Amino acid sequence: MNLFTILISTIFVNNYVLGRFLGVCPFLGVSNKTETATGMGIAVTFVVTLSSIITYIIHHTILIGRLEYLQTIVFILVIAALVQFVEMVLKKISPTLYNALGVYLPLITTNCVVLGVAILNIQAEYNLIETIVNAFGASVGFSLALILIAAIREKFEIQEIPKALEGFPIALITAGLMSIAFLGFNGLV
Amino acid sequence: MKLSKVFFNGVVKENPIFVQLIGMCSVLAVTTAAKNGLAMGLAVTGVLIGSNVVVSLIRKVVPNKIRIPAFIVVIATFVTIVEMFMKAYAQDLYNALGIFIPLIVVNCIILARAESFASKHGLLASAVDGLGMGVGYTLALLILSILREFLGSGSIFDIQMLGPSFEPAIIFLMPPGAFILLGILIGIFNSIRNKQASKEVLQKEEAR
Amino acid sequence: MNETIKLALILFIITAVAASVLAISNSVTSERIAEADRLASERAKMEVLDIAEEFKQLDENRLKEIVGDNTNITEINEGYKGSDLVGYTFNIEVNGYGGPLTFMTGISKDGKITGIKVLVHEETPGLGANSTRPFFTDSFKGKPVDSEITAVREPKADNEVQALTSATVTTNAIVDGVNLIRQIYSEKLSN
Repeated sequence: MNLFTILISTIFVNNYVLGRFLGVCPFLGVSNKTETATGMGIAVTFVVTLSSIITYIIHHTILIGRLEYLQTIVFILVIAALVQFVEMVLKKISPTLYNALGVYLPLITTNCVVLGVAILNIQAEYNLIETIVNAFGASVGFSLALILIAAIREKFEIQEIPKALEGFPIALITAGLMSIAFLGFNGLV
Repeated sequence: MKLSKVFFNGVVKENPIFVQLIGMCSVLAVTTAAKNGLAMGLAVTGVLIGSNVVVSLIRKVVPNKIRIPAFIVVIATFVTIVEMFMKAYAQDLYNALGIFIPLIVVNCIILARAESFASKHGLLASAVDGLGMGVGYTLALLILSILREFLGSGSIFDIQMLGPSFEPAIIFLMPPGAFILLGILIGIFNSIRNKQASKEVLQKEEAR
Repeated sequence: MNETIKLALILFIITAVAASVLAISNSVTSERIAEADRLASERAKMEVLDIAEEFKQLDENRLKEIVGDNTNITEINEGYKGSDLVGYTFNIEVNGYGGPLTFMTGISKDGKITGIKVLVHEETPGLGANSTRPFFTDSFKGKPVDSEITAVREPKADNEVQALTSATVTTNAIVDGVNLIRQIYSEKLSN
């Protein structure tokens, strides 16, 4: 599969949030403001791409052959360590962003997109370059969906919404409509 | 701590899906068919009980600073065991659930219960909490997957319910349907809870 | 410094215990998993080439000879009834709509497609996932290998098979794969 196809496919056609249901928790949880959404998107892109490279290397050098059943444990530990690292770096470089993301930063560890992409890279038997492109595309797709829904939810602040639908329900219904829109990308590749 | 209270807390009052609103990814992904939803619910319940028990057992030994990575290791171990046994004894279900089996590791429900309950309570209570949350989760999955399977393919647990002249609305099997149905379900649950809450306020007023 | 080492040590012990538990679990289940895989594969071969009773897989060199550059054909089996060669099964990987799709095709010695079976897929339920249903796979049965297969809404002619509604990518991926197998069979195996 050529690299451009992978990129278009992961960002639009099989968007990881709207099409594959990965990363829904932060998608609904962090999307109240576009600034936090953008910050989260950047952080996730960094973690996903870097962790995909590291897990790829670990899988192909250590695990392959006899230790494949340790994949889940090893991958999630790598991700947890990486997120700790990003937390420390972010605290030094941009304390404002660090505070804005709050508890959602360590929660990147449990973001399905990170572990999901790492596992899917191995399943699809991508080489290292394809892995990097896939990881980057997946996280850009996630960020795109996140920023889009944050922009919409900002408008909800000044709307009259039935009390029962406030918060998650209306966000989910919005996500459903966005998902229908993204279905229109079918046939692009 | 009354055990039955702990159990029903997980099923209704703090239902992970409808009330706490966590663990969503898997709910949307595997509920295309009732039997998939049930299988996932059982798998997660198994991991929940197992990890809650072990976390409760080691809670006094694990230093605070490394408790999260330690919990993650425990959870990942149980998930891998479930994975292996499913692959060995229920391959069709394993293939149907696909990548969402290893993703049970990052299902927020399990880490949340380990952190907020099992690390602070005894063995039996933690096990029952795991069971309660698991049952609550499975119920939510069952409701959503029965709805989606019925509207999207006209069947429930693979048994065709409606005649061939029924055109199923395939959108419910696809991502948009999942999002919208779940949103509506949570909305309904919220409205029931709101009515319940205002009834309780009225009762308190009248009691004065 | 001492504290960090102590923390790391405890974490290491927990991980080591976990890894050993998994190693035990692995040894308990791995045989069963391999057996389940083997059974599933046998069942699939029986389904696509039901006139055969036994199957013999072609070795790597012979496989490479036959498929040449078409390395997406990953396995070929000879089907025997008693000592007679009655047909072949082909495993092929194509690009479906939601991801890679693996399916098997059976071709009998008298030049007919005996069946197809989708093994692994990531297609949309209700659309591309219908490629696992009999109304689709049965339409391939009995089609001759000498003419190109096409998918249409209402198959009538000898070389027409059932198309999947709103799942053109899936249908085309499978039909193209079948045509490739047809070609390979006619050129290399139908002597």
